[in-house]
Amino acid sequence: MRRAFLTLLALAVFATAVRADGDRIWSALVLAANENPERPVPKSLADVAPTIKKVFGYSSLYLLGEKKRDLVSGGEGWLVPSREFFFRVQCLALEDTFYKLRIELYRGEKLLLTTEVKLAKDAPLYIRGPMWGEGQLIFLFEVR
Amino acid sequence: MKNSDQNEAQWDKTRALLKAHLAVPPLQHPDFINIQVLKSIRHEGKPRAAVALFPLRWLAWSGAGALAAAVVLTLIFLPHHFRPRSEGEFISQVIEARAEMPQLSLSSFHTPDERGVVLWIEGSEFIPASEVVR
Repeated sequence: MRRAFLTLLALAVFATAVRADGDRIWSALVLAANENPERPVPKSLADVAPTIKKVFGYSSLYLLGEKKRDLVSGGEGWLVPSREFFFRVQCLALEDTFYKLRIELYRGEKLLLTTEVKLAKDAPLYIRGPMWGEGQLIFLFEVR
Repeated sequence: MKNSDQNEAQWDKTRALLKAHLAVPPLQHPDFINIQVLKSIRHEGKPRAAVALFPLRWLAWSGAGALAAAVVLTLIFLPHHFRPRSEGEFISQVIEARAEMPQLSLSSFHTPDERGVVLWIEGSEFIPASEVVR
């Protein structure tokens, strides 16, 4: 009986640990451009490509950089998907279905914007960045 | 022939002696003995199914007990799983956004699927293709 109780306890603790470690914040820097013929969509952008095409109106996507990391409630970290642009991310709250984040977008040493977002799982945040050459830079945030 | 007659006579004699000396003793409590014999016959005639049922019942109870323990432990360690979820918990949202440079302006809206969110920056500098951003 005692052994069975300890086994159940261990399972419950393991389940809690798995939940906390299950999701990570993924950020990416994407170049969207119009090209003929269309370029094949990179694998890690397959889920977001239809929305980018519909909202921003570009047919070809280039993944310039991506980063994935864990964030705990109250934690803070840098997400550096590229050398020119990067994010300072503070996790304000970690709920079962979403993260509440404060994000600062930097270009080099210059702070461009500060935003506070509620980021739900599989519901990305798209930030329209500056134009670069013939294309548009788009920053992505997603709980994956 | 003579031998057989002698044997016959001896048997008759023995039978008569047995009848005279080995009388069946009368039963003291015939009803009581009768009841006891009937009881033991009935007991032996019963099927053994009752014995087999006991472990099955025990298994059922232990299964129900394990299920109850699992529910209690889940309630203790993972109480949020029993909380009803609102639709808003699965939708991303820009709570606040502030441009840190005067030439920039911001707006936000939901994606066509209503779950994702777009933060639209206007007024940012054009970056020539010759500059490296990656």
